[in-house]
Amino acid sequence: MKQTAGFRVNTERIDDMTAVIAVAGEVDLYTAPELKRELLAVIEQGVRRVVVDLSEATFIDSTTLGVLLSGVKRLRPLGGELAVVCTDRNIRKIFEITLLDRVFSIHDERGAALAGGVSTT
Amino acid sequence: MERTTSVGVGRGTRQRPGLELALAATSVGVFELRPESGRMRWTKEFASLHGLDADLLGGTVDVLEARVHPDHRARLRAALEDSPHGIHVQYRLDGSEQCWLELRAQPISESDSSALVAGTCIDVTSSARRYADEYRSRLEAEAALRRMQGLQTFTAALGEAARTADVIDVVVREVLVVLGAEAAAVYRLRDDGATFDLLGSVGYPEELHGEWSSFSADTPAPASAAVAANALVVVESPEELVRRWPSLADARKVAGDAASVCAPLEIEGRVDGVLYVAFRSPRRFDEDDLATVTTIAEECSHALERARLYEAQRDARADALRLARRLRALQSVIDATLESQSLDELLRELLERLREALGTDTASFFVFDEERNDLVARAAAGLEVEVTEGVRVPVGQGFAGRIAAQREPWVVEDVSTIEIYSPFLRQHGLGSLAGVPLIADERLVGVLDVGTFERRDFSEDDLLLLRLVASRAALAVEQAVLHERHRTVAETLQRSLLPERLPEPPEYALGARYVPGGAGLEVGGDWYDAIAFGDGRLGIVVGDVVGRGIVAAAAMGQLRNALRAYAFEGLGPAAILGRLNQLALEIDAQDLFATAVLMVLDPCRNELRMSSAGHPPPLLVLPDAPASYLEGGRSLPLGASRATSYEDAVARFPPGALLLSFTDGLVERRDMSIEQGLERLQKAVSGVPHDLEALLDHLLAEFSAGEHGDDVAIVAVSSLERPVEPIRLRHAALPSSLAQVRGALREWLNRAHASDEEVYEIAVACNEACTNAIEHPLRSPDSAFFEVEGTCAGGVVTLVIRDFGRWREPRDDGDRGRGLKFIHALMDSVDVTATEEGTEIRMRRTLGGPA
Repeated sequence: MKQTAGFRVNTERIDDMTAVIAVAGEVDLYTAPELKRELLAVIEQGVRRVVVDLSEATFIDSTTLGVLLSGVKRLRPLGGELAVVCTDRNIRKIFEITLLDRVFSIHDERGAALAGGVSTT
Repeated sequence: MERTTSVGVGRGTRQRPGLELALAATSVGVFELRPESGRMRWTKEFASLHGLDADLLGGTVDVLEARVHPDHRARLRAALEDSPHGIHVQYRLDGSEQCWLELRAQPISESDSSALVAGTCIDVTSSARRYADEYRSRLEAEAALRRMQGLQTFTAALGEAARTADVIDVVVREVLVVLGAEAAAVYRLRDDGATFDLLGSVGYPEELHGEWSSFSADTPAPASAAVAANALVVVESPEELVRRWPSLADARKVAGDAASVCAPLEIEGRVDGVLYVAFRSPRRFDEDDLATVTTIAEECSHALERARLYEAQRDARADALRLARRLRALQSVIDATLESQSLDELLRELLERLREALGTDTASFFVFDEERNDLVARAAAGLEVEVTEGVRVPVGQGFAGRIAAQREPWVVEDVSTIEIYSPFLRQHGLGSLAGVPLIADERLVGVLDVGTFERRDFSEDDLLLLRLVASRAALAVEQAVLHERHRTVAETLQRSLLPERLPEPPEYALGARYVPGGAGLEVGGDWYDAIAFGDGRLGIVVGDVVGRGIVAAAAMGQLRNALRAYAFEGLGPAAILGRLNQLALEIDAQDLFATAVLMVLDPCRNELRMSSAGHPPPLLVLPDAPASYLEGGRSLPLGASRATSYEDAVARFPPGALLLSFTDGLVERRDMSIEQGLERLQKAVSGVPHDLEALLDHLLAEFSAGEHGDDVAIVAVSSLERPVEPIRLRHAALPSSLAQVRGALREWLNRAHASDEEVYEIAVACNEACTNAIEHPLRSPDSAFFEVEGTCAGGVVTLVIRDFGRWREPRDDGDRGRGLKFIHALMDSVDVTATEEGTEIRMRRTLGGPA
């Protein structure tokens, strides 16, 4: 785990098919690979519903989006899905700029993301 | 109650035998008076002095009063009545012109209430006479003084009288004042000596003027006698006048003259008039009076002669002036055509001068329009409405039209007899017209005409002048039309090539001026331009194409446009000048030769990069430092040699600095070398002014040579103070550097008062650019770093992220493509420059505005 800018990744397995990856701090070219490793690991382990919780994240960049997109790309053929929890307006704007808010289902809180359904955006 | 005699001259003084004797010897009378009763007692001497009976040594005030001259009785009585306060009175005795007496007395206080006054009486006849003599001589002296002063005033007034009328005015008035006369007249004898003419008079009734305004020199009268004898003729009474000149009896009654002096007016031995001075009562003239009249007559003669000469001179000068004015008018018409001014100014000037020279009410000029075969009113003096209404007259019609058709002068003395085309001409009711065609190189240029409201006969001279003016004007007009066309094109071209508006970058304040040179009809090739690159850099160029007119202006335009194009290609100043040099050599066969200086100001680095092609060095004023010229980066002018290589020079240009770039017109003058001019300018610009516009105005006023100078172009740039110092970061090209960059940038943005959202978004954009820089393939191991520079001025944040790797086109769906999208979305402008050295991303965002 990298210690720069308070970056932390914590994976919580809800059940066999479901996992929440909580990200805290800043995600950039330096830290994103760790998120990517974690994401690919849970998919590898059979999780089909991945919730990336960015509630504690303070910064994401295009690399972060690239990691999330690669997750979606892997899950789709497997019938899985990736949801994002994001409350920070600035981070949300990052998704909106790239129109990725239409690709991910983005939720205000973890419960809604786990329940699935319609994106709150 | 009576007392013993008590006489004294002082209070309480008792009479003593010694004193009484002395008084008697000097014939001093002594008296006493009792004011209550009016009774007096006096001595024998007192009685004798008053011619009273010497045996009766006393009596009443009335007795005394009876001896006094009636005129003086009142004063004596008043003095005696006031006696309790003392007496001092002088009086004459009755029946004697000569005898004056004086009483002096003092009250003598007695113990009881009855008062007594006692005093003396002496004969003061001799002192009274002396006083009278003194009084008279003082009056005489005063009279003499007045007369002398009067004469002086008179002489001074005459000196100022230039014209005959003024002279007469002064003379007749002064005669009254100086001599106390009541009437005066001045006559002039005609050259034939046979007639007197009245030049002026004062003090005579109107009805006398007609009869005596002119009279024959044979008329028996004092004037004729004075001229005949060349001497004063003096008449002291009406009887004397009528006795000597019986025929004047009636005239005398009307005039009221009782005494007179008539003095001949003589100039250089020739008598040519008289001065006549009259009094209304008989008078004996003394020598002084006659001498005064003689003096006044002499002064008058001289003044009249002076006036005659003056008037003759004045008339001659007036004649000469009239002639000269006419000649000058003619000359001015010719001169007007020689001065270079706009055609309309020239024509108006010409017509005004023509109208003045010929004394006409109107003067109009019609230009021949070949295409429409008509005449257009182009300029007018007196009938301006024809011009403002753009009156057109078909060739062959009306007055001007017929002149144009026949190409012959035409004079119409009575305008009502011909057909008039212009409605305004008809409306203004002109009486007479004269017009001539304007022909240049056998081509009809237009028609010139003059008109008068009153009917007038134009002389041969007038027509000659009109034709002369027309022929001169025709050439000038033809020439002016050509010049004007030429100048208008060149000026328009040049103006169009100067920037209409200067850019307003947040980091710099800009001001510029262009002043066309005054001499000649051609415009110069000075130019300036300011180019705002989207990334915050600012390009300034000032140049001077050698030569004037359309060719220079056109060449300037080509250079300017080319320079803009090269600048946007991302070339540096020296490289741009190199390209321009090649262009200048190719532009055309004509020798194009131009100087230019190009500066690129970089707000992030607080520096400027410049290169000069033989141009005067820009003046740099750093904060708290004296002004100095930027002599670096100089090479040959554009178009000089294909082998010229241009170089860049770099100078500091921090906030608070001023840069002044100009063409040589500002510092080069006929009376000053360019070195002296540069030195003067350097001294004149000390410190950085707050107001660039005021600085430019001041410099132009101070340094521009004005109307006859060369063109002047001048650009001033000052670097504005910024809320935060620029940020400069340099990091290893490693992903771990990113967090440090973001941290430093956020801290810097906060100091620049960016909002939280702005801090976040700009950090995202910068992060993406840095990510790009890190991911670019490295050129070499020692280029493994990237730089971030940031500046904030005028509310605009500019970031430059520079790497030294090879640019890699982002894959469409890759993270890097997304990164650029971030940058574009989050910043106001983004420029990517990829060169051999590496890649540079410049991006700007205005704080406080929409992202």
